[in-house]
Amino acid sequence: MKIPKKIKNLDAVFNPSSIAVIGASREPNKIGHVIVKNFIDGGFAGKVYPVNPNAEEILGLRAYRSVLDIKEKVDSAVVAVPAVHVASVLEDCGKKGIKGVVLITGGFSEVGKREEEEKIAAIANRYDIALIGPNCMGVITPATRVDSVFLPIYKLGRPRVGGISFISQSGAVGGCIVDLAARAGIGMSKFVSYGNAAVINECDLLEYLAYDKETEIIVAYLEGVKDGKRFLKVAKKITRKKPIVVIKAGKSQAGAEAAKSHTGSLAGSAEAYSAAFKQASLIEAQTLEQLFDFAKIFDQVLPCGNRVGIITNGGGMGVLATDSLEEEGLQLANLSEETKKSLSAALPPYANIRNPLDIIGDADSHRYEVAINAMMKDENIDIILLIILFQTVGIDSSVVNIAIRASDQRKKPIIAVCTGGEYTEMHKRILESYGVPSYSSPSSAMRAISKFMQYAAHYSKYNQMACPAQLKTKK
Amino acid sequence: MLSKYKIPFPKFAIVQPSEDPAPYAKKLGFPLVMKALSPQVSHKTERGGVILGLVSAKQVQEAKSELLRRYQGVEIEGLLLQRMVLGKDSVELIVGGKRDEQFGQMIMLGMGGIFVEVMKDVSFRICPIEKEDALQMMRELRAYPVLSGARGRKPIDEKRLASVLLNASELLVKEDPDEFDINPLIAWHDGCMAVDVRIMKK
Repeated sequence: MKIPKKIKNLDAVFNPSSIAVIGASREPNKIGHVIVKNFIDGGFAGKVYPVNPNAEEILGLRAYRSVLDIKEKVDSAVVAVPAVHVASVLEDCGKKGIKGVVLITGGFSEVGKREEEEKIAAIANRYDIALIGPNCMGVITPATRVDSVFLPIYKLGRPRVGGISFISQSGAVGGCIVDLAARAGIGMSKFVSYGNAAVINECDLLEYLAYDKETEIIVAYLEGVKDGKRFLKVAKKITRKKPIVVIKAGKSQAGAEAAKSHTGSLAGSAEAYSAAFKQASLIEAQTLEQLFDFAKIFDQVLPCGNRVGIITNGGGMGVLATDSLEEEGLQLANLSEETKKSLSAALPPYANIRNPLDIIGDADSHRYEVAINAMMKDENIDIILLIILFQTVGIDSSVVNIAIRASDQRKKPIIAVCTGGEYTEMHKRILESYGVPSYSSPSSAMRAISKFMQYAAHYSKYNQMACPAQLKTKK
Repeated sequence: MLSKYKIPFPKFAIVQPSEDPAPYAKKLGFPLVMKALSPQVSHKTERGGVILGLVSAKQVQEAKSELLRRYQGVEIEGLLLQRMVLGKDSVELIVGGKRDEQFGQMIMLGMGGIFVEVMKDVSFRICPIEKEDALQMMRELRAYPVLSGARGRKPIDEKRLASVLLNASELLVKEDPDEFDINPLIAWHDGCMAVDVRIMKK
């Protein structure tokens, strides 16, 4: 299929080798200052050109009166000038041959100024500029340190490099999620807050991310879509190759009104959205917590079936996990005779050799290793759930390495449940940052596994699925 | 409209209020249902415009007089005489259409009668749908076990129900009605029939 030019030009937005910050400022609390500073402090490897007609130098970089004064080639621009100057700045960008623009400035259709927004969209379209915004926070590409988000790095953490790309209609929600992802150790490929979507809308971004090799999972926060029919068509095509996890805000009557005034989206009923999501095999999250609970599980290989093997050092947690497993329609795996034999030989005589496998409160890391190895080999088991209670005397940090090594074999999905306070949370973050999805409760883990399963079934229908399937293209 | 979109419905005849329904009844066979048709009444059951379970020519004649009495002062276009659908272990379903401002025509499948009103046991898809969507719509209903043969019931013919859904989706796309519902749609182990249909277009 031929990719439209403006979608292709999104490459300039996400991976530019040179960038102009138009509206760059010397004042530390101005947006135009924070953006330049974030590019420098974040370690962006390309060229940064501050543009400000009244400054000679900003943060040690030479400032230019206009992008047209820059002699070298400029791939993209971040624009944070007052709304009245946007049109002329965009004309300059077009003349300069800039392919991608992030337009931070607000004060367009969201405050009823539709004509002004159409005017700037027309300029961008005339030059085939991929324009994000207006009224947005822009983009972050952790791998190349492209970062137009105007919130200071010490206030809003930036996530590590990973396979999740996240598109958000709302800047504030997007920002919070990026911050949470950074804290939880979840990796991201691209983040974009696309605001009013005057030129580039959610469907364009989905299409771009579908082609993007760095993106393995797409996450979307939507208040509405611009074109329902196109959204359904585009999403349906993408989910055959990549999972999309979505949250739709504005499902209640009052919420829909709020969304309408927020980004001016056509409402569309909640049941229509839910129907469209099901039809396109999107994974719908109901809460922000679920959004990442569901997305991060795709760091693992796709499972071949729904038989779960549970390892725990606390009997009660195993029982809770079994309850949730049944509730989600998953299967408790039957351990093979061989597994039973090898476990009886290796585990203490008071351990009960069954699934869920309680390796007892005095378990150390080694016992986890034995249990994982046995379940890895057992053909009756498709998914391994590791419940690790870090509160016990016998457990130390080395169990984290064992879980990560098991996950790195990429033979079966390894999912962790770690319930507890600060000490536990610390280990959970380490697991997470090495791609072992970790949950605070058995129920949230099982819910995510059931979504994972549903997607695996959908994926295998459209792909010659080797089992287990490597959704990730690289590691 | 239903035959154009290959949605099955029971054999029927329209009888004028001045005519004797008995010959029509004998031709259709028993049991029968008689419904009064009036442009002024859209919910026939609430108005008492439906009489079920007619098994003889005499009962059909009596039903006609009864309906004319109940509809006094209301314009009657005719009387619909319809074979009564009597599948063993049949279930009453509803298929509806709804136009969404963002996604266009949507199709709805729900359990009929009290279930749709009280339990809101319905599922939606955006038109046009594919066969897989139709099957998923059935499985999404909380009452799906009733369709698939709970407690020794004969399961309904899912293929036929799926084809009704696909055809209704095609109707919704091509005709784009403002309102559309088949209520009830009766499904059983080897059949699926639209017993009553409402289509409104401005």
